[in-house]
Amino acid sequence: MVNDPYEVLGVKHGASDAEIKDAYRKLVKKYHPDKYQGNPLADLAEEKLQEVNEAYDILTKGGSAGPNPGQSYGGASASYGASSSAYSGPDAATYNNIRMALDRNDLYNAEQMLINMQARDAEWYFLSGVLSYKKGFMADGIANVKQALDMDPGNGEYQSIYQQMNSSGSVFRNYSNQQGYDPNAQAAADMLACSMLPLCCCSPC
Amino acid sequence: MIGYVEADKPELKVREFDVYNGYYCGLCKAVGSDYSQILRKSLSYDMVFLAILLASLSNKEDSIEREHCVMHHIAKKPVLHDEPALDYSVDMMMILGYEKYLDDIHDGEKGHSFAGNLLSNATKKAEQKYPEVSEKIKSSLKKLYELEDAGEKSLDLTAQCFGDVMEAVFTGYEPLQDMEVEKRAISILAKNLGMWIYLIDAVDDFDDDIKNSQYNPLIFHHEGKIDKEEAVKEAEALLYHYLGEISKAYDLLDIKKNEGILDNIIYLGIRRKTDAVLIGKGNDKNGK
Repeated sequence: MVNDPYEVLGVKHGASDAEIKDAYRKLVKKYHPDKYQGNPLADLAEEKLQEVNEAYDILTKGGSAGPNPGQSYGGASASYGASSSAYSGPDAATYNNIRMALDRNDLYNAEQMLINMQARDAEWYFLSGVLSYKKGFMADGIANVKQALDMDPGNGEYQSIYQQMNSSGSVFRNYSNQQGYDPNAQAAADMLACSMLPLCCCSPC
Repeated sequence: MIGYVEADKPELKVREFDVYNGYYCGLCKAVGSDYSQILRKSLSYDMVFLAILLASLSNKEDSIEREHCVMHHIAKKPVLHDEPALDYSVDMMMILGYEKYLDDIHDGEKGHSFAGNLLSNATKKAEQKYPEVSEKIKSSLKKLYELEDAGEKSLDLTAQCFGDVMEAVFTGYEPLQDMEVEKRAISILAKNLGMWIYLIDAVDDFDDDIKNSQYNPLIFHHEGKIDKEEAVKEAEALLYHYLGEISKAYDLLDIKKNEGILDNIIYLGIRRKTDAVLIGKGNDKNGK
């Protein structure tokens, strides 16, 4: 059972269709599965989105809160895959095994295979980066994939994964810009902050 | 390591600015009345954010009055009263304040023994109220210090320890224990906020740490190779990643009041701080 659909969408009772649609669009964007892909809170976002969809259906289709076949938000799949490697060096077989292990989320074996290799080429750094990323080690993940890109700048797969790793930051930047972030406002902020706050005690300025 | 989570003040509305100051001065006054005047100096904006965030989960109206205070004799300032989230934040500040004091000693700065003793007593009071939280904070910090002493190269490992500290601080609030969704989201928010604070502090201290030959996770992460430009560039990607994760968790919270202030801190304030520190105009340059 859903809550008050107006409340769910954050609009007043008796809001116009346009207002409802506008609020609905914003919330879909807010809880979109693409945004929460790989995030530990993805299930919560999905629940919120479903609630929003149901509320919207009630308000636009006069009370039927059934499933919404027109709206299937499947999570975007990572473009990285075992078969997509363009690598064809002497370690191709081992690298392929590592990729398959990473795909199964068999992180232990992927790590063992990487450690036991002699090579430290771009592919090695790339797969080490993917491994770190899957372990939730963002710093190592970004650093290693960056290293792979530095060694093989033209590799489209490395570029795409590097972008994916930075996607959370890009989403944030966009939303922050929409909220009115002005990158050149620093000078004004420096001047204002000190004279305006009633700093009770601790700040030296 | 404390004081980076601040609002982008020029972008606050006048009313929001008043409420923000009300929380700040409320926290300051509560520190004075609950503990001792001398402890007020450990007040930090991070704890103001903690108080506003936790208070925003309830409908309770902010009770803000205009009062004089020790620091401002002439003009009256807005002061928030009777807010459980504020009281909780004071206790957390005491526990963290003492830990920061220990951290300074750890870093080789000579502590002032008089302030040290008072902090220690205030901390004991707070610890008795929240034994589990303070235990988690202590064990995570202990692990962090051990890693730093051993010259740990993995920035992820050290940053995660500080993330654990913040997670304990943000999720120990009593009313949160019955709010499953909110607790999960705040736990992820706090964890990423802690990692962001740890890393931004490392960028901020980069030059000083090289000069004083002290541990800095960014330098060690690069195997002792000191190329500030490269380190800062990598830190930028990572800092923005943490900001993204913070905002995703924040977007799932059911904020009942002061949403404008919280939006400002999350989407403008901490980004402002990030960009300022990245171009070398952080807290260390302005004085903490």
